[in-house]
Amino acid sequence: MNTKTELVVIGAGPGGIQAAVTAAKFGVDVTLIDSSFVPGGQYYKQLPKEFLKDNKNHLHKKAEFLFTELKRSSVHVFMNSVAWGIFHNPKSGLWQVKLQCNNCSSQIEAPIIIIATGAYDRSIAFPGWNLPGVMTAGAAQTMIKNQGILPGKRALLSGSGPLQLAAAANLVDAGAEVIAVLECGSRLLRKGISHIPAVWGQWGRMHEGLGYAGTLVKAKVPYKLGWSVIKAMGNEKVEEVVIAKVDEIGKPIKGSIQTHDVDALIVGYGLTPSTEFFRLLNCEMKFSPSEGIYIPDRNEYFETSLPGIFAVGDCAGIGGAELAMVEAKITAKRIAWKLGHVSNDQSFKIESSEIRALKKEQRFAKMLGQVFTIPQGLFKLAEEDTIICRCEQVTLSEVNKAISYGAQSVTDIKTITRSGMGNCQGRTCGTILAQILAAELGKPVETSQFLNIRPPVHPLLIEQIEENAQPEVTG
Amino acid sequence: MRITNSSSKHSIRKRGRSVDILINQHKVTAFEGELVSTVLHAEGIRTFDRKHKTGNSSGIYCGMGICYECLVTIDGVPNIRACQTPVENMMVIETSDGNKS
Amino acid sequence: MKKSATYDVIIVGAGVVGCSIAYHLTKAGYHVALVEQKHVGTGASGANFGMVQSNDVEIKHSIPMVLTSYSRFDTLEDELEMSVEFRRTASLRLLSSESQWENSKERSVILPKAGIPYEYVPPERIPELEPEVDPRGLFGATYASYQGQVNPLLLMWAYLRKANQQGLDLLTYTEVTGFIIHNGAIKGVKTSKGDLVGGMVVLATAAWTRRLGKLIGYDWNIHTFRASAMVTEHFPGLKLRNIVTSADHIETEINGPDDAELTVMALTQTPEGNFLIAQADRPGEVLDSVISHIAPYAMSIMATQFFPVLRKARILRTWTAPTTYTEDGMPLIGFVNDVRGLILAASFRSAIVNSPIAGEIVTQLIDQGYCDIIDIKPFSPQRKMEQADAVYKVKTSQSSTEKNLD
Repeated sequence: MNTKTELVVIGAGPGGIQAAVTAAKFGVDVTLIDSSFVPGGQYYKQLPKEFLKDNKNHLHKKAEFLFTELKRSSVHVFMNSVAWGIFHNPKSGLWQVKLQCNNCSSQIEAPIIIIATGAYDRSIAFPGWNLPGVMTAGAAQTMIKNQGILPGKRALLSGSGPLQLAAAANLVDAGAEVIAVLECGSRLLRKGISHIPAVWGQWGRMHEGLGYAGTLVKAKVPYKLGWSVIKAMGNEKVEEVVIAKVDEIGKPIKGSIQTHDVDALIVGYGLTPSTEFFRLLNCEMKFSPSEGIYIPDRNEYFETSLPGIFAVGDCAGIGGAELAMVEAKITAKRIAWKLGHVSNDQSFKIESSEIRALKKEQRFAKMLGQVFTIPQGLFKLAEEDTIICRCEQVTLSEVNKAISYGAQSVTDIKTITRSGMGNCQGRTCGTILAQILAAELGKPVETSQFLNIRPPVHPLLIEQIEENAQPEVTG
Repeated sequence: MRITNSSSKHSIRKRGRSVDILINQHKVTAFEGELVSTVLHAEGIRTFDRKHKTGNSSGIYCGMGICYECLVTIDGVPNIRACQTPVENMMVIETSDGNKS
Repeated sequence: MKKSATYDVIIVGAGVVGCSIAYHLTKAGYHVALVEQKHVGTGASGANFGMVQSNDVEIKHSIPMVLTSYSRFDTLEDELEMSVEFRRTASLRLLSSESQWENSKERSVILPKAGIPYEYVPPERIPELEPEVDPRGLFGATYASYQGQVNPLLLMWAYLRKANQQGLDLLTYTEVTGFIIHNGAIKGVKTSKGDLVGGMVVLATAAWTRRLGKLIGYDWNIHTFRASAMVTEHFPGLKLRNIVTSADHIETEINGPDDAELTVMALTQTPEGNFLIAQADRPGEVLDSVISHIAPYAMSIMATQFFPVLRKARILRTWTAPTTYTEDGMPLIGFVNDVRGLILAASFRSAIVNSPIAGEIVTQLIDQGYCDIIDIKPFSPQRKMEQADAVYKVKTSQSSTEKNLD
């Protein structure tokens, strides 16, 4: 099945939905694609529709509003559809997105694509991080909020940032015993105060944060500043965790070590952008020093270096749902104008109110990034037999061997060890490899570069690729 | 470990229709709307898959379909992400440990 | 990187040929820089099937070089003290029609005489060579037993690891932007990270050679096309003994007859049991690594035409890279006449099998000014190319489509 549309939006999180409804309001023919069952992405997780008969979503007012707008709009919504590649069709001159749903393969062509694929939990490797029962804050949140199931009865959380607070509060509320919440940034308070201006106006967020903190205080959950998990242990699942106080550079302080029995370890070391499609298309990538990773280079209208490919939201740099939606509005309007849906005598202009909103959200995002950085020492917790690439089961020892051969970039390590050549194409291990390499060579992490990614971005059966009918192919 | 603490805002009062599925040849009752990963976790199963190269066990890690640690066999088809698959009536689920689980 | 760092030799291009040259030159005691625009194996070497093949050799002049180089693989892993997953294997090319066999007849006479086994196999004998092939409907196959399989990525790094130990300066993510030439002699290269000084410069740059040549007024007649492949995860449902290819092909027009894709089937199994499936080729002097929307589909249907069981194999990724061919099927090896110190080592068929000898040849040229291992005169960068055996022709609006991946 081939379809043509004016705008394809990949990712139905807050950014993607906002972009789709805004563009549709201007009369653009929009198709919104997402691999989940219901829209909302990771920020606005909705309950499965089968649960909605007897339960309610507990969502932001903003989210409810957005979902209603989407329902009322003319946007064609394709849920349960995995976009596995973006190609350029030289015959039609359009971008082509190939999709796989459960039983069908198809493609959609459009002159313009907005990539709004969001972000995922950033991983750090430590001994035992790959034991079942060790899961990301995002996974824990999904289990509790979306599925109503407890990740564990006795949990410990370790990581950095406000998302941890939310996960911890939800665990407490759901009836789990939370041993402690470890925040690895020891200079939080000092750093935090200088950023008060960025927090100004973010009352909704602060109210939310205080709510979570209140839950934890009431339940007497220790919140330990400057602490981190350093090891997880157990027989094929996590049973014990070793935690320690860490110094300013993240090195565990001897003598502070504690061991706790748990059946769930929740790790939340921040988010990393889902840049798969930008790397797949060879968009110009630039290094973001504040985040320590490569993101797509965008102009002021959020278009990448490839004409017709736009990026909004976390996938182009972590900034949160609000920033994603502001970017989305500007981008959608720009695209509507480009496609001729805004009357011709109007030259394109971003409203000053939109610029103000953008700057406000950018300030907040920047503040969060600066306050909640991961100290370097935490990238050195892995031991020689710690698995670094989970898909290909590559150990730190093999990674170090590759570096001793002369590897200069993460792709060199991939080439030698097969890290990043498995199912996830390096989504989990890529950032870890970059840090290990940089630390070993004594160079800034920017020089580690980034891994290539190739279609299909999610593995497909050959028969599924075959079902992707190509009318032009002749025998 | 379905959340039953009724004062919790996260307890699901009533899930979808109940369905009968097989997990490693054992009959299990689950509910529409639940993910395969949820049901396995509720049954106390933590090892979903074993790595071909080392035999190391893996299970739920990212919860959003990008880490490929939660792979199980569903209706005879291997390498399906449990966290991305909702349960269906008569579904046959097998983890790496199969009968041993 | 030190600005104006001085070297004896600057090699451009860290593909399998460049890495081999780096190894041989550093072994001979030279102070060498290996400059690479992105990561090691950014071009065709990193997208490679890993076939160590002799059966597609250009017949008139290239056999001695390929035979000599192939024999180096017997001791290569010992010499480099690293496994490159090398194994001897045979290559089986499935023929659907007599006319496909006609194209190989000349080869079947010449190659065995030169010591490269190559024979026609009737359909009833195919199952004894490759049990998984259904011979019904086939005219037969060509069987070349003197082939091999290697992990091309490890091959590059086996060379580099030794070269690094021997004092190589590996400069990745460093793009050559120009050449420094004074009084008809090369003095160095300009790069995105500063100038490098060296009295000898070797271009092991494959698909980028022509573009680099144009910077100094040369238009070396090297054609570029993009070759695509894909890999499955380990798939126990099929076990192949040989590298299996087909003479059948699909032509796909993407944007008219001059923008076409030519897909044949080529299948090999890695030691881990993954399948490498190739190969879709697109002509056009394009140097990017972006796969077309047609290639994954075309490769899939070619593979399952012969091995339906592969329908259930999972594709982990597809890829494409620019690679090269010349009209006479021979590489460009040797000194560039009017630029003293400039050496070309580009467009081998194929680069993997010829990588050992390429390193030796270039080292001799730099050591003593000439090569006496084999006669490289036919490969002169100055030569006028005549179309020798038409082993590879990509479809154009005039000529017919033909492909002899053998």
